[in-house]
Amino acid sequence: MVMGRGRRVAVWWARAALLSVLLSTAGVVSLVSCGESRAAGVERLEFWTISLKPRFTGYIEGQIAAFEGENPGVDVVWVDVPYGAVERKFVVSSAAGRGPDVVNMSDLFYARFSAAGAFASLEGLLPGEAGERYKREALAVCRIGGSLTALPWYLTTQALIMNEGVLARGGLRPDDVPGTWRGLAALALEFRRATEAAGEPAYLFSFQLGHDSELPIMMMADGIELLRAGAGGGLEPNLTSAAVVEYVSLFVELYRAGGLPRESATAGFEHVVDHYQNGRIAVLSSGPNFLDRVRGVSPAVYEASVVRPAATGELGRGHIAVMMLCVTAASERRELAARLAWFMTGPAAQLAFSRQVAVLPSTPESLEDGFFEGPTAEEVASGNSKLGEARAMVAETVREAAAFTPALESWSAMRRAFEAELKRSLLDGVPVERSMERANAAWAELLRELGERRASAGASPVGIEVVPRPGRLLATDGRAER
Amino acid sequence: MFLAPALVVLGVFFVGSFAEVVRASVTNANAFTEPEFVGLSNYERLLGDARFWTCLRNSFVYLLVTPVVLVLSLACALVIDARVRGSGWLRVVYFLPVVTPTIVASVAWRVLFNEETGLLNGVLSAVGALTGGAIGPVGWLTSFPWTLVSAMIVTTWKGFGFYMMIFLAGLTAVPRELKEAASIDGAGGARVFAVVTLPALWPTVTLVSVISSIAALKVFDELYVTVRGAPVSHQTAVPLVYRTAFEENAFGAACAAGVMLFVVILAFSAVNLWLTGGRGDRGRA
Repeated sequence: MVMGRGRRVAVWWARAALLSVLLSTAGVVSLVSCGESRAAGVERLEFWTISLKPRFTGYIEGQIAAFEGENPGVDVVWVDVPYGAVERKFVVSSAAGRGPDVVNMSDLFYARFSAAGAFASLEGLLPGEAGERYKREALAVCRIGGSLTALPWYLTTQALIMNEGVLARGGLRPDDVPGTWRGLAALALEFRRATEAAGEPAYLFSFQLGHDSELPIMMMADGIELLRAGAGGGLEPNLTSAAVVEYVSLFVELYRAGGLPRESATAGFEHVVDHYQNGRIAVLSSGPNFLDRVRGVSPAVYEASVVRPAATGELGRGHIAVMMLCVTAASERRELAARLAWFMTGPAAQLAFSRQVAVLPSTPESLEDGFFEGPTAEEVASGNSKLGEARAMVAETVREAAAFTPALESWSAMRRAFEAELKRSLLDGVPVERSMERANAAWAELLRELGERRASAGASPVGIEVVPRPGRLLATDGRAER
Repeated sequence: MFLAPALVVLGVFFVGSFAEVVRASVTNANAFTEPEFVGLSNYERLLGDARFWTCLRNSFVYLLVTPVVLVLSLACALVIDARVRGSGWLRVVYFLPVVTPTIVASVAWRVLFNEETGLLNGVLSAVGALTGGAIGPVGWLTSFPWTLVSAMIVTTWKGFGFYMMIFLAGLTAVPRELKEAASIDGAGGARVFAVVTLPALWPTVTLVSVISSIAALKVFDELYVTVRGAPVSHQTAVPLVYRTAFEENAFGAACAAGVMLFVVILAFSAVNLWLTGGRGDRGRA
């Protein structure tokens, strides 16, 4: 159909109008979603936590309300992010210029982002003295490059949670289970074969072997040096030492022989909990909070579970994982954000939090409370005394435990390089000596780059002091006795 | 004038985005600091990175999905086009995987692929017991190349229904009278397919071949979910780009990898079109 000139003009205007409406709508939507609606005189802080909703919504909102009451004119917006998404969401939001003011980080995530310059120094911003408030080992993890860039929040350490029924299938009782990682590894294959012969295959234990590998922490807890002092005050990798190769080979051979689940090379901690809840693993090394989860998901497994002190290395010390609060470098209200982080990590606030979930406070003052001495009357009455027993056990453990995570900017990248080579041994059959040589070379390159960055920034070389080297607690060969 | 809306969309969401990626690829962009110009160093590091070449190789191995998807989707389309009993239900069943979210499909298949409790290894173990151990469980989620095979199975399962619909549309354009004439002249079903149906369907084969191969080179979801945790050497190029950007916080390097991948896919698609388009021209002669 041939259109007249008038009709062609009308069609053109109609299309131009439609396009304008579409573009305008897109522009308005993006402005509304990106802009900040701020009432006059109100300062807004965005506070991110990891996986605390919905169970702890009341606690966090109560703390926020208390902080806002003490600081009129401050509006704290709380955002809770699932654990598996926090890294990605933090990177993407920060890249878009929409990151938080205060963010909850695990010690692993913290090292990675601290190296990237994501966090502000808290020196001079805090209303009190951090050294007098927090557990020394937890605070040490919060200093990267000598500067305090985080405050320790709650701590998690581990206990051994054992399923007596599964142990019995392999002919073991809880007291027969070794209290060291080497002891567990030595018994694992025999246990597997015994349960296979009984017609109900099970594993003695599992852990994060290849993915977010716990091996570096376990080696340090065994007194094995992964890093040594280098010439000129720097650090050198030590992964080709006989001790490292022997320790890594112990678990690689165990994996290859079928003494550990196949998923331990590629799956995270969820695989351990899943296997335990389904009665396929006899021993779970975890914080007491996961005992609560087992109780909800698999009551029969919970009833069969007993709690023992954590597995340790030759140093006899458990590992403390530290959750911390950081003020982002992009925050425009750093002092106010630091006050919020200080408030949330106070002794009273942490004790209140620990009463709601089986974690430990990072403030020694809170740990003295009678709550950490055993099950409460309510827990006994509700049949949940195991949780209280586990809590008392880890509270005792944490007094002598150490945070084996080095306060090193490159630690996250070094762990990834170690895992990449370890997986080649686990899955592709590469000899351990060869994979540790490659990991050693990767660590040397990362440390060299770190040294150059620090030199160009006028900072001193990072030294061996960033590597935790606590003394041996007990000479153990089996269960550590207190 | 009539192209203006499409050009605006293309300009904003493709040309503008691509220009930004190219710009970022010559910087040390990350999420937390201002980017600085670094020239071609990202590309130099990428070309010297063994991981990149390994993942690119795996991407080309992943192209083996394309002939499988082609044959499977064409076969299903021919079955439905033959109007056999129940073909209406078959069409729905074949298309269901297409409408299943990839993440859901990947998670479900991951359960099937579980090396200790999964159905597949359970069947293989049972068959192995009957055959005296001739076959046995497979490391679907941990052993190379089975990690790639697992993801390829999910991709094939997810995609064949979509391409089947494209072939069904193409089959409606095949002249029925030509097929009838060939049958009358004594040609069997296979001969009719070879000399009448396939030549007429060749442009559709070309289209499906190009689309499915581009999709195979760009695959991410299946690898990220189904074989999560597998080593980098078991991954393809796009998961490496993701890892570089969001796990190593190296946006500039990730953009450089993305640009390299774009060039590779563009070159591959051009060759693919030239090869398959030439055959189509000769078929119509």
